[in-house]
Amino acid sequence: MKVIITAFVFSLVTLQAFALSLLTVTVNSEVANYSLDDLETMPQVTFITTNAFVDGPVEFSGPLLRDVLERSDLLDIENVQVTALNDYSIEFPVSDALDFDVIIATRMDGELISVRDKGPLWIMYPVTGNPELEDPIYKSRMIWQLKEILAE
Amino acid sequence: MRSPLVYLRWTVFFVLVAGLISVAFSLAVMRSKIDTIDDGSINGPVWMVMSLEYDLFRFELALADFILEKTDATAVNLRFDLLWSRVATVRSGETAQLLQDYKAPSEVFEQLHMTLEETDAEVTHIEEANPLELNQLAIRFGSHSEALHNATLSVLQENSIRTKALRDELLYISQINSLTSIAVAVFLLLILLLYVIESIQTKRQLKEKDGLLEQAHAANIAKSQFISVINHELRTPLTSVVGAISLVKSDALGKISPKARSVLELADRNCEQLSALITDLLDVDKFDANRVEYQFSELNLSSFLREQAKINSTYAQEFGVAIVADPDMPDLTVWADARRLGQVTSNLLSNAAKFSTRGETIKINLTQQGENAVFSVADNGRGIPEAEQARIFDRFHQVDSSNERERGGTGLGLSIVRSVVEAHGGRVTLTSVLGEGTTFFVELPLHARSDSTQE
Repeated sequence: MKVIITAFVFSLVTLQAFALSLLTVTVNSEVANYSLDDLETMPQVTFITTNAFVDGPVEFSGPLLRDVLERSDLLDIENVQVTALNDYSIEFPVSDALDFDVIIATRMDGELISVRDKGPLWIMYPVTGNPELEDPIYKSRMIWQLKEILAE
Repeated sequence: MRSPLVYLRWTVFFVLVAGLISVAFSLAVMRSKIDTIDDGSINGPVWMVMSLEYDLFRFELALADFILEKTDATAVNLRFDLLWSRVATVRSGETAQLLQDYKAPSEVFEQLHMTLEETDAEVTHIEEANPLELNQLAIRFGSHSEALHNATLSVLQENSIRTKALRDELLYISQINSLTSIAVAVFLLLILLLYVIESIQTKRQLKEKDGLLEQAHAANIAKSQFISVINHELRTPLTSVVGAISLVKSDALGKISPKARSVLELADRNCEQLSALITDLLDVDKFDANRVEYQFSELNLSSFLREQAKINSTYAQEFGVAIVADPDMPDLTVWADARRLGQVTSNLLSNAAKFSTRGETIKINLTQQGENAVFSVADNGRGIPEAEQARIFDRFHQVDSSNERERGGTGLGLSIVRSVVEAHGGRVTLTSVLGEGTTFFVELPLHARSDSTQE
């Protein structure tokens, strides 16, 4: 009985964790919240790539950044302000999301990504197979610990 | 002869190209050097160590706020996790390598990492810690600040050393580049100068050539005029000579003896030959000056050739030679000037007659070959040596001059033949075997019998 209750409570906690807002997309102070669940129910893209912050090729999966931007009708603007958990913030060119299959990675090698591993959300470019993405400029746009997308 | 200027020009040109290549090369090197300027970038070593210092500071701040009960455990844990991820970043992959290159003491990051691992459980359950433990935790993380700050300073120092080295290098490259550019400019001027000198020379040479050409042209005109005058001056007296001879021959001036008649006949024949020579000379001159007018019309080639065989037979008989046109010649029509084409056939036939042995026959034939009508004149004469064949169409050329004179001939006939045939859009060729005979082939385009061209 105790086990069942524990399992139930645990599942509630887990459910809550999945329902927690991880990403806010703010357009002219209109806020859209995305939980892990929201992001994972969107069409998923998976690719294996290397980058400067991981050792060897790693499989990343998650929704396309352009799908998320499209939901807030952000595909026509030039830049969005992207902010991370550690308050790191840059201007992100929307064209990148259109030109490449840039994803908001929610999983690394199939596992959810912890904050310690630069999660829970990590903007990821398919560097492997796109040599032009090896330019250092793209390294700076792979925002880890993504928290917020802002547009005016 | 090539002037030394040409060699000089090429030398200068190659030096110029080499200079431009070296400029391009050094610009490329410069570009790649500039690409390595990485200090301020988001993934550069300076940024990395400073961010680490900042993240440690933010964690310490969160911890202090927690001790003062200004914030909750979740915030502390978030800062802890962020610090953890930052430490992981500087310890792994490209970043670790880069920091090592920039002489960042890696043991500082290792020690911080150990502290994180050792305090992980404590921070995760921080709400259970007592004030003393919290203080110790704060002191423990605080002890890393100085070492981390020193690491940042050493990275900064290394960065400034590198930047200076890079700047010096770029300065050196740009100096080299400026010098090369000046050299290139000088050589460019030199090559320009060479071109000017050469063009002056060329102009002078061209002027000389023009003068020579003018002289040659004037000589040619003089020659033509000379021929015309000679023709005229020859023909006029010749006409009166012929007239006089025929008058005497007709017994109008009294009966003449048979002996005298035969002498007159000889004189008459020679006059005829002289007249033919003059006509040929005039024709050649006309062909030269492109003053020949053609009157083209539809011409039935087979009946034309039969008629020509008949006309020229009299002449051939003098050499004891018969002319036979093939009775089965096909009915072919060409677009031709009958009078000029008659010149072609009579030249070819008289040549054939002259070179044939007595009793032989000259054969005329006609065939169709594709879009062309080809008629041939074949004799069984002594043939033309292969070496001569190419030259027989040249004016005044004769195969064996000593013998020719006996037979009588100007050496102009075949030249006229070629001019006329080419004016008809055709061509004349021959095959000849020494001792067996010669066949001339005249190729003329067939006249399209379609009504559209006729109307």
